[in-house]
Amino acid sequence: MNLHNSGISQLFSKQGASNTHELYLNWTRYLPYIVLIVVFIAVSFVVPYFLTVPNILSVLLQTSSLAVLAIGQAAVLILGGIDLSMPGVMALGAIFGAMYMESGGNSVIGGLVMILVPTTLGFINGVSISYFNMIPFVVTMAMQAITIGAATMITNQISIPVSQNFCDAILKKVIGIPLPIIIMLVVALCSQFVMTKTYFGRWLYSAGTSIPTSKVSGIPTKRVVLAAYTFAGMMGGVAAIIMTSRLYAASPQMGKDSVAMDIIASAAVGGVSTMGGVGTALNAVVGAIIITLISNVMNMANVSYYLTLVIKGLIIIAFVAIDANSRRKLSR
Amino acid sequence: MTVSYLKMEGIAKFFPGVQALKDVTFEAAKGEILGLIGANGAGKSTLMNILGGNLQPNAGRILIDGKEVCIDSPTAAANHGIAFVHQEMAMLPTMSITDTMYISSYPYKRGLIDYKKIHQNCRSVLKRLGCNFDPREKIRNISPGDQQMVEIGRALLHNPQIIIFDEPTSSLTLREKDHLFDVIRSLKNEGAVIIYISHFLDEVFNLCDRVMVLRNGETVGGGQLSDYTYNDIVKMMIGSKEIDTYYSRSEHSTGEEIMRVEGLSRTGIIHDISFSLNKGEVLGIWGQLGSGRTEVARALVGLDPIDSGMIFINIDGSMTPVKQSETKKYIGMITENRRKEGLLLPMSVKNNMSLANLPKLTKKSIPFVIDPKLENSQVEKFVSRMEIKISSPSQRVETLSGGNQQKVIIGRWLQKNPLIYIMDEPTRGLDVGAKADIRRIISELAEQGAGILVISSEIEEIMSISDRYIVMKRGGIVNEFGGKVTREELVAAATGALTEKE
Amino acid sequence: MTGKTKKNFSFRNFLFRYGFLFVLLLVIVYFSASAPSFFSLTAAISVLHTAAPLLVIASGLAFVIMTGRIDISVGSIAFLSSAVAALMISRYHLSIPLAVICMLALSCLMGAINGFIVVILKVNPMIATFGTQLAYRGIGLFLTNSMVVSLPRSIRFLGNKKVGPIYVDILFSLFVLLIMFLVHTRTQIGRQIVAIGNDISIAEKLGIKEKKISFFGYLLCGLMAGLGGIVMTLQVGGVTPTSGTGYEFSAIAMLVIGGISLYGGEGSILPGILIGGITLAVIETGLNYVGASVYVYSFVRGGVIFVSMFADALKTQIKPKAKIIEDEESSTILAK
Repeated sequence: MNLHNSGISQLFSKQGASNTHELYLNWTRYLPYIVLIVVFIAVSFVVPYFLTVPNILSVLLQTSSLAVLAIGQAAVLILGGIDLSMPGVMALGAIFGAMYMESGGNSVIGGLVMILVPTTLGFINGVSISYFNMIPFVVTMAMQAITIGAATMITNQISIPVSQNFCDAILKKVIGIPLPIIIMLVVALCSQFVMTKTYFGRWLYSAGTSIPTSKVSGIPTKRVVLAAYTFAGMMGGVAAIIMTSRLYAASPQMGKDSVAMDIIASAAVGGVSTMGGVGTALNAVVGAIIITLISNVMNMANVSYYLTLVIKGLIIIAFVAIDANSRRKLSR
Repeated sequence: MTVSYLKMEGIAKFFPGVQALKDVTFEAAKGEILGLIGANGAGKSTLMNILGGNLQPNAGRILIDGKEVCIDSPTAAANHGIAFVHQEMAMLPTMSITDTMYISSYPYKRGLIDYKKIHQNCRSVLKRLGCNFDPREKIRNISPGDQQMVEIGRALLHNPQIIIFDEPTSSLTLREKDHLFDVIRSLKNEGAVIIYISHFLDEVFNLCDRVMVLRNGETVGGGQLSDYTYNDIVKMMIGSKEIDTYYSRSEHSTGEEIMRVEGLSRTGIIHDISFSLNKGEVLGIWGQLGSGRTEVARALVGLDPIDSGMIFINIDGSMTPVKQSETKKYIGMITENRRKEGLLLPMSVKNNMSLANLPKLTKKSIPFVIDPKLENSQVEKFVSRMEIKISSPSQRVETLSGGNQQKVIIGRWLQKNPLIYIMDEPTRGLDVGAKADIRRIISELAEQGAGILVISSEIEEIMSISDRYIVMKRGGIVNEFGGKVTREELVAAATGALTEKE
Repeated sequence: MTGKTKKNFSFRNFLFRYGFLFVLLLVIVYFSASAPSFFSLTAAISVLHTAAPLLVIASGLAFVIMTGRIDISVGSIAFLSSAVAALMISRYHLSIPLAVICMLALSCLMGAINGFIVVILKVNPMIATFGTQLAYRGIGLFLTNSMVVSLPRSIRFLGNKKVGPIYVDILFSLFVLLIMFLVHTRTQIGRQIVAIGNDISIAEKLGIKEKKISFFGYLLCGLMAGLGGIVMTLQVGGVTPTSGTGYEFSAIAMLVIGGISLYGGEGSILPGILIGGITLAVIETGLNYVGASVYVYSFVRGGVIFVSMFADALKTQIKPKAKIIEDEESSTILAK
């Protein structure tokens, strides 16, 4: 039997609640799913064509890059850290890749560049945090400033187009489903598997629960921290590919600070605890869908962009507050 | 005897599920030191927390100088002249001695803190305790013993009539302890009521005039200390149970060498530590707190850095030098801080017990993937072997008692089955039964061939389980003894008396 | 018991304590060499002028950071409160003192909301103030409709008014720093904030009302962000949609450079924030003199905070070594 940290794995598990690892004994465990269902029902009332296959696919396509980013963020949050640099790292990766392709480079290598640059930057975050004991949010906040600064400097705020071939290859449909959705699902399932079924996952959760205990028990905690931030960087790279092909261009606009809010909101709303040790990749995906739906609804209802910011800010705070308080009650 | 100044009558206190105190009555007079003793959980701290205003009793009354008083907060306690020197020091490392003493009650002058006055007060209080610090010195720059003096100094600021000392010697060296006792005696001579809480009988006999023994929240006896012997008090503390519940182990031979340490050093902390450990042997490290014993244990598994030294471990029959960062693979480490370094508190017993052994619980067919069946069977095997009382392996470990928690940690290492175990204070804070269980497990492990390094502050404990001893003082090894050593020899070696004679 | 601790001269500690002064010197030398006009009194005054609003904001933020927490909504508080004040004055023609009072009350309210969420609801401070940062800015953009709100001509001159050769806002920010310095070092609340930064549970044990004091820290931080907003608005002559963006980042950089540890409990308002503020302002002004592009700022600022954070982390790692206490006399005690 495995570590069941999410409600969804709980729902799918045959062993039932009495036998599973229980951190959330109360309703908050199911909150993300309740919210998802409520939002879903609400949207389908407002938008009559909502529950059609093309529309659902288009929502999922919209979600794909955010979901991938949220999965990366989830790994870091489970560890008890935070990564604010994901948007900037993603944008810089996309720009380097696009520049490579623009200068006549191969698309495959261009795609690799898009992944490798963010992975390297994630690695730098990880080294600073694990081996130099620097505070995660300051490191990643500085990284965000550096990457965004670099991105605007390089591009002079002009977006770099990418070749049609590259975009078509990424947006291609496989059995009627756009490739980004499949990428999202594959990434989610692989991450979910690693988190819940392998000992790397166990190490991640135990390091997120207590670093000293994990250290004494012989778990290579520094390497676990490093791996989580590197993974977050890599997810930034995957998202960079999806975003670039959907926008047909790479631009520093992709890395706006407010994107970081969507990523953290997705993870938090999906049920990944910001206090470490709780949540899975599927939680992050559910959260990303919820956030995308909320954005869409507000868009359709002509809510101004500014109020959208306010509402999202409040959503994050509400979910994190519920999480913090339910956990405190438990540990009493 | 003079008339009693403080009287607590019929004090009772309930916590959800337990009755911590049932009808405790006692009195104390000015100019005497009352020793309050009892096993863990006997209610000493609860009683004193009621007197100190941290807790409210459910029944009973407190009289000071013949008048009934209501102590509903620490501030109220202070106003009634009660001062509490806590076991855990409340120090603010980045702040000055003066700040640490006055933090919640600064006097003001013209709208700003009157530092001139309080530095002066501070200096005079510290002088009374025989210390000559600059009160502007930062706490992090003074030693733990000196910090204890600051802690006491804070209690003395308001000229208290009743002073409670709760285990004040736990972080002190022998010399600092003697100094503290002198201070306490001089306070007594100044006419204060002193209540001294301790598990250490020798301290109580050395210092106190009168004693009161608590057991399970009740007063079981007390009176002038001169009427009692060690044995009488111990009997009262543990009740009808046998006094000698310690597990005493049988003589047995030990095998080949499995670990050798050569010249382990870290500047200012430990120096030139060399010893060897054999198969089937329990090696006790004995020394005062601060002698470097814990630091040696931590250095051996790479939790603390070292500047020089070699560690050799017997791998497949030959002594191989092992890097400090790699020794964890061969050593099971149990640190003294169970909650912080031993457990994943919100996680299940199962997760806690397989923590160290995860790479070995994988499926044969797929690497990295944990085999749930194998994991469950391993966990169940060690839960039953260790007799851990749990409702199911998914129970959260923070809901267990201290003894069961410690067994979970030992079970974790048993599952990994290393050659060598290091146990730093393995029975700290456990009740008598759990202590005996843990000692039995240690002996069994040794009989099965493991080499075990044990550190303990209780001399009886270390003597009941060790085959051999090394004695540490000031960061170095000063003596090694075989199994036939006496209690006096160990204590003398740890305090340096033996080396002086040589 | 030895009363005095030895004061060994350690080059490492010396470097940590005064390292940034050297960096500051190097930066000044570098810019003076590459742009000769840089090294002048006018330039120095303009450096302080640039730093003025941030010095005020950072002095409030320090009280949150010294408790070991964080507030990254300060830029948005400055923006929203000055936007509201500017709207009141320019659109509804409220009297200026009244508008200023409303503005400061509003900034206190925003600080109090942060404090409530972090201290009472126990939400991770980073995420909570990240949320309010966006919410406050969203409200501000909504109210101003993302337009520039100009101040009336009658008060606009204040931002660039000089007394002798020195700008008024420099004097104002120095005055604020002095007050905050006294609050930090010479009042019970200031001392208790440092105590909380040492260890929350120990602080509570010592009878400090942790929640109340930490809440006050956030309140003060909000108020100072509002005051900084006034200076900022006067300098520009109005409120633009981007007013105050990135201020949280610059303020944190100032504090870290000035030796106020993000781990809490450590650092000083004076000279700490002043040194940090000047260093940062010198770098930015210098980049300007050298003719670097605006986008370089964000990059350089990120790098600076990275490096100073690195130094901070190293510094906290140097713990005073646990002394093995000398027991010369113990043998004699036992021999008796």
